[in-house]
Amino acid sequence: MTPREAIIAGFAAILVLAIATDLLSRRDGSGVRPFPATLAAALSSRGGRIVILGAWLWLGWHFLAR
Amino acid sequence: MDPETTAVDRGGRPPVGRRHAAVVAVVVAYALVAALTRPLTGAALVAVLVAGAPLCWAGVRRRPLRAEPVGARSAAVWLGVGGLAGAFELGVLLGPDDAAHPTLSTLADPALSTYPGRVIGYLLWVGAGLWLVSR
Repeated sequence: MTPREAIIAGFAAILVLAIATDLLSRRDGSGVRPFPATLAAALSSRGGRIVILGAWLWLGWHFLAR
Repeated sequence: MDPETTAVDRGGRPPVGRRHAAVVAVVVAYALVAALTRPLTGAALVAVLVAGAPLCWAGVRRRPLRAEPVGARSAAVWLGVGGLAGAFELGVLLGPDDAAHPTLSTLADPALSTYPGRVIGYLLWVGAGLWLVSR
């Protein structure tokens, strides 16, 4: 496996982990809330909104403008 | 009489369905125009800031919706996943700067170098921003 393939596999594994975590969190009795609910809770404070919206703005710049 | 027309005629805000349609139309128009800009140009930076700055301002000023607390376990799990992704990206970024060690944005470049890809990119980004601001 080349370094490039290993890096792509790493990103894919993290994506699969995130999706699997979200799906498992939606099952009855799960002690973990789904990602959107967790994000919404983080957005309920002024500090959380500043951090998350700042990250969103940075993502837009990084992927679309830089 | 059309209830939607009545609501507007009373001097109230347009109905929710009509407002949503207007927002969707504005977002699509924005994406179609913004995607005309080329990355690494001042125009692309302006295109991001034209939507990004007002949304950030509105999102920080807006009173948040009341959200159900999620507990420390959920926060720890999702911070862990985010931290893992961030650490992996940072590790690649700090490594050799060549095609054999691509960052996530480098991997996205082929898709974002096409006009349809950039339209989709802007739609996803602004859509996510609107969702965040509306919470």
